Amino acid sequence: MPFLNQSNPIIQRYKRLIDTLGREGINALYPNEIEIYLLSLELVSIDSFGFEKSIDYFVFPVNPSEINISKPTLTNTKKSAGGVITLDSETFVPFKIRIQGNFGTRFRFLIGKNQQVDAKSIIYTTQNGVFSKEQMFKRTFANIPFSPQVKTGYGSFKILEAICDKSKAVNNDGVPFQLIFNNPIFGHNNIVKVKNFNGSLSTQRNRIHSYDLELEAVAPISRKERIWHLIRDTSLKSLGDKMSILSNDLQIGLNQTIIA
Amino acid sequence: MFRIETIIDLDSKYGFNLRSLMDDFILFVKNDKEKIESFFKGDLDVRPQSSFDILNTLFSKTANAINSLNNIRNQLLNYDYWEIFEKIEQIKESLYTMKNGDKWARSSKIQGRYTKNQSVNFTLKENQTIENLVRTELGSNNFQNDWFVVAINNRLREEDYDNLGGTLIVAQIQRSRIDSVVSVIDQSTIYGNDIHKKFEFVDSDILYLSNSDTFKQTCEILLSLNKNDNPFFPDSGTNKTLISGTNINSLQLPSFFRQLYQTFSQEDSVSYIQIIDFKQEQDGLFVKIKIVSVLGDEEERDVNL
Repeated sequence: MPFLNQSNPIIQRYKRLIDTLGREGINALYPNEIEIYLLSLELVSIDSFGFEKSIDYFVFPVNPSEINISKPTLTNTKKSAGGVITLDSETFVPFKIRIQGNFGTRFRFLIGKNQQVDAKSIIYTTQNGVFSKEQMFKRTFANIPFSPQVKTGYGSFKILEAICDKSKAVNNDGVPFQLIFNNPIFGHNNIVKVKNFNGSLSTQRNRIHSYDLELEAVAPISRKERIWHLIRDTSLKSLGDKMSILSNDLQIGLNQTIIA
Repeated sequence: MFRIETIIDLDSKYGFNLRSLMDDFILFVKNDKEKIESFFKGDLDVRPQSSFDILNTLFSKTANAINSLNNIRNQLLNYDYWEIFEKIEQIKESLYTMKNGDKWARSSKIQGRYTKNQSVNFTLKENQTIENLVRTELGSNNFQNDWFVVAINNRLREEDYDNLGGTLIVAQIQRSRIDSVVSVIDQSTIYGNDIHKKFEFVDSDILYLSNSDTFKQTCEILLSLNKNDNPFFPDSGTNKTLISGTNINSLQLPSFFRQLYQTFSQEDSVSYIQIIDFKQEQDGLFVKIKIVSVLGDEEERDVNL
């Protein structure tokens, strides 16, 4: 099989994109062809209109030592007298993701940590010292971070732990937070639920906090619901309801007793 | 709340029938409103003619009452009269909404009936039967029975079509829910008519765009919409700070794309968007985006990040 030489237009195009966008940009454009060795977790709050607000965005500063995905097909197969029956589904089948590793001991610069958070969501963020779901609503004591962008291995571990913990909470509108796992290593972007978060430390690996994270992907982010609520007061039904309210008002007015 | 004495006073002094008008309106809401709503929504096949007659009579009675009240407006100095006037105007407004209910229901019209589905024109090809059209274009599995629904809706007789093709058939395909347009949905009316973004008057009317130009303007507006630009929905739009002022290594393109998809998902006339290409020219980063409408029209735009 011959290699493509450097003057090949496809190679030229790839080089041009690498120069302008970098590998991350190409991956964002062609997620199923060019992978990038990066993992990120994003905790998102959804308001009553269905808009997302990013709360914590954590790009793993050190890639994990191992990542596994396990995709069961969930096909139900049964033998019957006349043959074999299989039951298949066209909907999304949840699958398991397992990540193990550590962030070392050195100070690491966390990318993508500064621009994402808006003013309404900052009360929930680790940048604002919120590291557990209990703290989100009852703030008694705020730990101002040493630095929101530069973290030790332990600091990164704590952010990961905080994101996993807060992903099980609900926001002020009563909508559960969503945890999005961007995994361009395998080309998956999913809404996930944390099944298990294991932290470990041993004398063999002194000062190195290891994590073992089990996630379950529950939906691909491309299948999220559309925002329907934007123009909710102009359906024929709601306009008809306004007519009924007016009619009731009139009825009450007309039934008044005449004051002599 | 208005006072009943004021109505009696107006009726006896000026010979109005405001009380009976209000009674008629209440009766209309009780008996006929639902029927008209159902007809416009497509739940009722037969036009409820008597209800429409009542609506029209009531509407002209209300318009007359408002005219009469206008004529004596200089004598209506008491605040009580204002309240009555306001109620009569509200009645007119709600009746007017009901008259245009087909637009608010965003239904499609086919052979005098309304439907929640979308009407699409097909032309029979040579040797194509209606069964074939129903199977291939409309995706019916039960085409041997479904074809006559199409034939009846189009009021086709046997001699109206033959194997030479060319017969125009209006068929219905399922469409997604539409909120962002107020119109009877028929082909390109799904895009709506928008005011030109450069607000101006032409021929003593506000300049507004055709359906297809509205779609183009919608694409332009949504692509350039930044977060906090829209005072009603400040979270709609993209956050350009994810891109500008950062270097290549910290470009947050996945987040940016997600915001872009979310912004477009609010627009009912857009089916999907695709990112086609990136290019860098001097210090500018441009992304080429293809926007495909629900009718299959395509728009390609270069956006400067």
